[in-house]
Amino acid sequence: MTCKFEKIPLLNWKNNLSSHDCIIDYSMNLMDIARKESNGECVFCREGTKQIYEIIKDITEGNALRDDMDLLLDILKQIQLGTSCNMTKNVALTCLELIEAYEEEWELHIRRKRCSNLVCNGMYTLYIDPEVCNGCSHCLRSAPKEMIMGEPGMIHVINQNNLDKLSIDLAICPLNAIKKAGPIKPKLPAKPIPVGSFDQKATGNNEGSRRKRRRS
Amino acid sequence: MKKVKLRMDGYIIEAKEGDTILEAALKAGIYIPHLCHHPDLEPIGNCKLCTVEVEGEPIPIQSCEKTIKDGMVIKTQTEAVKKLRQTALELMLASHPQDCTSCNKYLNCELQALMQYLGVTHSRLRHIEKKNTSLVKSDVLIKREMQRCIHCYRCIRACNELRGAKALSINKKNGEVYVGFLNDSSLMESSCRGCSACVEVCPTGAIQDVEGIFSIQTPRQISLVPCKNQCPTQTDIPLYIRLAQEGRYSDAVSVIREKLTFPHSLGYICNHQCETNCKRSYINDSIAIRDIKRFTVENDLEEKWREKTVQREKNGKKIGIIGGGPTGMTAAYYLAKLGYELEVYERMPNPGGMLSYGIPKYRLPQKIVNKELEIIIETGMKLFNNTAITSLDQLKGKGYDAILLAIGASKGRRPVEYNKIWPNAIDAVDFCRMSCEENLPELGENVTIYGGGNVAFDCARIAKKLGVKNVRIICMEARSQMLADTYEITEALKENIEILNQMAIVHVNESEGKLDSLKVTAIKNFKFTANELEFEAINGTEDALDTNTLVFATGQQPDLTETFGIELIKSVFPKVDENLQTSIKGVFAAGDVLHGTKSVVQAIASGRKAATCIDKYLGGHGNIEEVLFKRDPNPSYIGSIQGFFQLERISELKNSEDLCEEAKRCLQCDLRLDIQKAKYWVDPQFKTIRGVKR
Repeated sequence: MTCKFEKIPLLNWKNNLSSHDCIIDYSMNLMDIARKESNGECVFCREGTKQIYEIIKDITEGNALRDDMDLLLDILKQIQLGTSCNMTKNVALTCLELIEAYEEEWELHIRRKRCSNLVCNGMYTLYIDPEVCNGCSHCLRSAPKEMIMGEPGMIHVINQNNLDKLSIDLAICPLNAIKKAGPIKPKLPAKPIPVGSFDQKATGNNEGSRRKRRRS
Repeated sequence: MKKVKLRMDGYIIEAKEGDTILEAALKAGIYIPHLCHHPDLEPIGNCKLCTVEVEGEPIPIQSCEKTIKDGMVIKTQTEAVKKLRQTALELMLASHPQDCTSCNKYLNCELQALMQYLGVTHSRLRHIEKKNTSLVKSDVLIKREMQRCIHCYRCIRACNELRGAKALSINKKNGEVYVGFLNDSSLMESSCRGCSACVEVCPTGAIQDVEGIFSIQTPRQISLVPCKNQCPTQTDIPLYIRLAQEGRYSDAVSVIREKLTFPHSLGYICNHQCETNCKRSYINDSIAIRDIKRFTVENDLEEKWREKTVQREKNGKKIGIIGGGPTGMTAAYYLAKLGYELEVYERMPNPGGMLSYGIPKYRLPQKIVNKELEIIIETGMKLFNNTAITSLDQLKGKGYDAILLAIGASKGRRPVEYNKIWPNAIDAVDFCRMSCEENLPELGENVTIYGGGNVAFDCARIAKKLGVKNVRIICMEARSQMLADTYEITEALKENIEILNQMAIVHVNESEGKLDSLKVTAIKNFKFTANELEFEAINGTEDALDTNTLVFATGQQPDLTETFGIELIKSVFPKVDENLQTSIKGVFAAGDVLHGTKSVVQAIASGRKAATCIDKYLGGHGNIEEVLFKRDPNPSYIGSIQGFFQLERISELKNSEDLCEEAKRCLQCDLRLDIQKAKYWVDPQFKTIRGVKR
């Protein structure tokens, strides 16, 4: 069993990244592939990639700790110095490069829990635009139970409690009414109301306020 | 051996050519931390803890993998390598439980020692729960707590490279590796040989012996080999089983004879504590150690032990031994070899004690005993048969420098209320003796035996073989708690012997001075108080049993009284100190006389101890040990046997193939003792560096 470096297409990040991608999400996927490819022999390959993956995963979920940046740099340097295999050496190097090249984006994730492209799982909310939704119920049928409220002819509303964002396919809506929101939250009806009856100014208990910045 | 000079941490050290940097450093007293390295295993360079800097190498390297070269300059303690080691250990600890104090390896754990050495704690990293650790379960021999595994793969290498058993492997599921049986098979399906090398090399508490398998009363190194440990004479059982398997019967007998004087007889009748405690018995039947012993003795054509046995010159001292049983004859054998003049007094027409007059002939043919007695007598001793010694006064003026009392327990002991003499009530010990002498009286149609030990079964089976129609055993214990061997019980049942469990005799009816019937009752429980037997009868279960002969198999004691001339305890047993010396200086006692009936092998062990004590008393070193077989190093490679634990015990060893198949089942528990111990940074060898400071 050897760690197969060839299996990782993401290493050449300069060619792989598009402007819609998130660098942190990209790095996480890189480490995820590496940790699963590891043959488990060398400690840096087996435990190192897993540890880095867990830290970046916490970052993407908005659970980063204050010192995570230093921690990542520290461990990544030791990994690329100490590991036995080229695969891990290269992913560690790539990750270091990505941190260096996009330092601000990493800081934004870690300190302010924000993702510029709204890719990272913990850094956006999903909503159905009440101006666009025509009550076709496409989304209702395809989404897991109770994640979307509504019925034909009504404006659908995403149930923010117990929401598994990854289980909702944004492309399912023919009108692209399912949208992501960052820190600025749009005004939304609290529960389904008939199509056309939504009034931006009158309805909704959501004040559209900016999400409070956490102290970090 | 060519020497290589290196510079390490500012010392010039000398090392053996071909050694790795790590080996050279450890030998020179320079500690380099290491975890996946083990002195008996090939290096793999996994753990990264042994990282060092070598001049001319661009990055730090693993010292366990790199062979030394003349003039190499090595630094083991730079900031860079310290940092790397710490990070590596931190990463290992991230998925390791933090409950050190509740782990059995606590304070005996290499990982814990390394944490102290490197100053690393469970730390700043994310704690990681490994998912696959629960896939690998404990079994009856090995406790597995795989969440404690730090993936050094010593166990896998020990299993594959060292032993060749090929049972363990690195498995992978859901993108996560774990240590398990090859192809995730179960213990029974696997090729595990039960050698426990994996336990021996595991640096953490991931793989451990199940508690309770090994005695905790003896030091670990001794209790790890239960058969040898439980044998009263500590016979090197695993070795002779291995020799027997190789067909080296004569060498096997040499190993047996180092410790035992009546190996052939024991091959028939030993109570085999070794088998009872055999580690294999936790899986299926134990190894047939007794049968293997018997087979090797019977097939030893060369008798190589005779060439090696030592006979010292006469030293002019004289010892008298009272009793020619296993204890007396064993002591006589070893003392005669040490050069003493021996005189043995035997009250019966022939020596051998219980071997000749206790154990029924159907279990142990007399000619086997006689042949083994001959070997002992040949070493040089005077034997006085038909000579009962009932008082020390009889030996006055014979010029003995020491006397050994080894008269055994030759007198029956009954519950006090039955001490009356009826012509048709016989003590088991007399019954067996009469049977051996072939002068048993007419037994009648109904014979009852009172007692549930092996002797009771001997009596019952003797009676049955003599053609008695109804033989019954009355036993106070429940069937599962009987003292007799299971084998005896099943054989007795096959022979239509009736066993009445949890019953007691309440009263005996007499007519014309003879016993004629017994009143018995079912009992709930019983206990022995100072001099009496107490039991709780179940009302309304009383019954009368006709009997023509009643045999009391209720215990034996020495035939000894105060008139013998030594101090007694409980008025029958001689009082001895830890050197077996009685209240009279120079008079020793050993064997069953000290405690009542035990076993032949116990008697031999006692005889050996007596020989040692007497030799010491007479100014010798007390060393009776002989090396009759020169040991080669044990093999470390034992190979792979698929489904090893499914091999069933072979009930009868008919030929050498059977013996080979049976010996193959041995787990070879002794081999793990040859595995070297891991080194800790606190070991004294790292206190001083053996090199020149430059």
